[in-house]
Amino acid sequence: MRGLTRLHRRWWGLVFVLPVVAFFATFSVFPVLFGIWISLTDYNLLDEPLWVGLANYRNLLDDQLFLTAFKNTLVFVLGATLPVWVLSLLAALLFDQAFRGREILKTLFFLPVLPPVVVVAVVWRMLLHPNGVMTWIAGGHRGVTEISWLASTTLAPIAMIVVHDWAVVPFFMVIWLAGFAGVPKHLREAARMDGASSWQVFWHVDLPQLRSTAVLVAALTSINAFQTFTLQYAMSPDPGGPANSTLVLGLLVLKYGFQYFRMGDAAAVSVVMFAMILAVTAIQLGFNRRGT
Amino acid sequence: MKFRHFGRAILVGAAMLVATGLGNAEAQQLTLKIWMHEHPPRIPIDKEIVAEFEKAHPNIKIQYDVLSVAEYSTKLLTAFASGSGPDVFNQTSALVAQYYTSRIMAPVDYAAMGYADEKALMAVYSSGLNGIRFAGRLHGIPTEVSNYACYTNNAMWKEVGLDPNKDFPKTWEEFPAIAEKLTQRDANGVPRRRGFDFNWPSVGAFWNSFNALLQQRGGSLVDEEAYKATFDTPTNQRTVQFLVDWANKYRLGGPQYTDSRTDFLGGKLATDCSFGIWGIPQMHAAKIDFTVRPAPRFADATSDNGMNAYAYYMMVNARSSPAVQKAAWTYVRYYSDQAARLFAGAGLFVPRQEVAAKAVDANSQVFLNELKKAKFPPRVVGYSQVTDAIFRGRDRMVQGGEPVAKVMAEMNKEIDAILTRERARAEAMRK
Amino acid sequence: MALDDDKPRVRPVLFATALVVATLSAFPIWFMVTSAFKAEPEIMAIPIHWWPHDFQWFARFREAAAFAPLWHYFFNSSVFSVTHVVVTVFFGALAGFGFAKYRFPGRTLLFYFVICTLMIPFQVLVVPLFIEVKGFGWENSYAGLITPGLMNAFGVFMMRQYASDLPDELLEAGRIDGASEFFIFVRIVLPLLAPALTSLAIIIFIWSWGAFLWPLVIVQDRELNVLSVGLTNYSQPYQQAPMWGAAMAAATIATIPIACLFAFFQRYFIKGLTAAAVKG
Repeated sequence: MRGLTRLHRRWWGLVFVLPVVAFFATFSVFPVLFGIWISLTDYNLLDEPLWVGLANYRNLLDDQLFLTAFKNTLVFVLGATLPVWVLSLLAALLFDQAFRGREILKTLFFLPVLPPVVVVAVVWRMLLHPNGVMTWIAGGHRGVTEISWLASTTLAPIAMIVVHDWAVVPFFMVIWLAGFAGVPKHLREAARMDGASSWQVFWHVDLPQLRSTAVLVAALTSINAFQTFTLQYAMSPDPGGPANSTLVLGLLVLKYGFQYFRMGDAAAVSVVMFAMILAVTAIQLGFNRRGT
Repeated sequence: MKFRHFGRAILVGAAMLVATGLGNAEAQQLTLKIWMHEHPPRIPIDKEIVAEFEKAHPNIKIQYDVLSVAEYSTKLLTAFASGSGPDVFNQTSALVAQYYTSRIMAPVDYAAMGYADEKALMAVYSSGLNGIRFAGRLHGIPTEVSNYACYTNNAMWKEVGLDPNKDFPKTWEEFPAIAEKLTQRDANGVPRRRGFDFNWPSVGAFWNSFNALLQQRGGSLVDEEAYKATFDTPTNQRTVQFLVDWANKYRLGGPQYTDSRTDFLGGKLATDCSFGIWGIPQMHAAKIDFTVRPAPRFADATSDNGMNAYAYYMMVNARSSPAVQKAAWTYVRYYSDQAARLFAGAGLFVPRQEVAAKAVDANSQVFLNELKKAKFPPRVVGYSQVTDAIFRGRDRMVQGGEPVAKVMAEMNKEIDAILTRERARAEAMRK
Repeated sequence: MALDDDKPRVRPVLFATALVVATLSAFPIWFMVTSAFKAEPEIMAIPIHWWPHDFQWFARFREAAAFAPLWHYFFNSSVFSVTHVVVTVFFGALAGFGFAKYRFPGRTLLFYFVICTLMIPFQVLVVPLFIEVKGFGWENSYAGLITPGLMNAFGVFMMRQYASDLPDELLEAGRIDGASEFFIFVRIVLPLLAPALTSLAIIIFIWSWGAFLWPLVIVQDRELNVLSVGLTNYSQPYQQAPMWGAAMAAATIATIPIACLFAFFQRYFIKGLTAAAVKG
């Protein structure tokens, strides 16, 4: 009798997980496979999909838009990972210290995380108006009345990076802080009692313990950066920015799929994006494994 | 008992007879799904026309929907893609090429419309049909035709001692000097009020100006039939250089400023050439004292055309059932016959003989005169892609300062690549 | 480290640095909120008006509501987010519990199946999902908008972690009392998981509230759209100059729910965010 109930009970687990499994099969896994199939067709919604094999991918190699977006994405990812990693670590170090007023200031520092990305983009779009607030702050005292932050091919990508970093550094600071909290206090105490300076304590005790946090922050910042497109979409005067200087791969998928209605091309670009993200993540996880 | 059964059978039989009888009458009942873009003054007139048509054709029920311009094209596409597209729809001339290649537009059914043949139809219209002619056949009826001309803000012109009627430039070459007089700059030389500027940000407006300028000198952007780009020629380069100079050499404007329509209505621009005849009510509403002048031509222009014309065409869905299509063409005939009402009530110029005859005043007359000479922009299938390529190239030249010759060569290649793919697909579809 | 204060020391250098850093972070938010209450010309005025000279309570909000269906946007976002939260949390907990406490064949395989979906960036899904949803006839509808995001693999992952920590004795006790497995889940497991559920709920709400790409693509009707997409109607209106006042008012409204969650549930908020990150 007991044996039977145990067998019955086991299958309950399957019943419990079936809803999510079915859901992801329908709305995640199937679409990915379907998307790969679409990337091998020429499909414009109005006509039946036309099989073209790898032609879409081959076209990407000559495609100026794609190459520009590829380059812009790399630039953006670089600017959205390295500086964020460093700045969030510095911020965490700062706010890990105990001092009067820390909690309030930490909360203020955390504010950029609260609004949705679109809100961040819209607010900054206003602040970066050629005759607006940031122009006044940057050049008002020199008499400069107009800086085209978002219409200049050099300034626009930088603006995107700065705004993105502004919005995410506090979030990653919290992750670092969580990592700090995970460092056993007694290790620090022991090192101090041995006469180590604060810097030596950090370098020789904290940092090694923080390896997995460090890799985590690196991985998350890069995955997040690769997929960013809302910022570019909502901040540029027209999506893609001046001469497409802020066109990133995520935007390109949107453009090909829902502006040009070239579904096959859009799918091909998204597959390339996916491959890039997988590659980068695999490399970073490799670093993590090497250390342990 | 037997009689009760018998009685019941008769009742049932009678009921069935009646039902089939009614059914026969209803068999021709059909619904016509009509989509049109949002143009507030026209909508009440549309609704009247729908009501009148339904009364005259009791077996046809009409489902009339208005969609906002921003969503219209996307919704049409998705609807056609899922097989639930409207039976009758209108769309602007720039975007019809894709409906042709995907065979969504039904060729005009003259019989259903009540015309003897094409000649009979063309006799009624004074212009505007060429935009919907594909492979020699007409695929729709124009419900409005618009062209741009130039509006001057009289107060600003008089302020600097210029008379819009006498001093308005006949050539583009003399425009920079005049625009400079009308421009007000700040201490850094940045124009605070522009004298004249092209409408850089608006895709449609720029498309209609850009192509017109190329056509004035006999050049063109693409060869529609051959699916080839014809953009990179010395003549076109000179035209593009003029545009670039407007922003960079004369510093009279550029893509970084607010679009010209908004600024003209807002009193921050002295002249704008991106409004149609439909702009007149807007000028009155903004309390601008204006004059309409024809757009300038190049001194060495070989074609006397002003800014481009564009049209809205009413078309029938080729994928609807034959019965529905016939009914649809009947509606199109009725609607198109209401041209005078549409002009009077909504300011929509329909190029029919009875409407063309009545110009209201001198300003409207300029539009009508210009319309006779206006050309249409090329109809390209990948409109979005091609305009993107043009805007990108333009920004490289104007804002990036790259040399015109180099960029135009690359733009030509790009547009060619786009057209080649479209042609390949069109040919594959025809197989 | 100082060992003898309940109150931290006053350390001017650190305080000053933190003040500068916090100001840099916070001033755009300050600007957004104050601009929602300024008269339109004041917003872009130079020199900057840090506080409205002409404080107007609701004028910008009324403008925002008049220009675009602001309250529809808010309602749609709420329905969207709350539905996602409820469904994700419930089924995530259910699945997490299933994976954690039941040894059924295929358990590991199915778990990795679910977790792998976390690796898929949404851009890969957007085109095929659009075609699929359109195939169901759900384009431009609530069904199409809400369904594809109804469940979240992260929720499953997180709940499995927490569920596996639950003592088996409690579950056994329930079984001995004759309870069905589902009953155990609802009456014993869920209450025990309450703090984790709260953190997950908050995080799913934030993700849903800010969702942009999917609503952008699947919804064409203005009345059906969500707040995040609707916001761009103010900053990038069709053929018009941007309406900054209305945009800032709408932006403030879009931020309020999350700010409230943060204010009242700060601990769960932070915990949820870090849990989201510490998933490797």
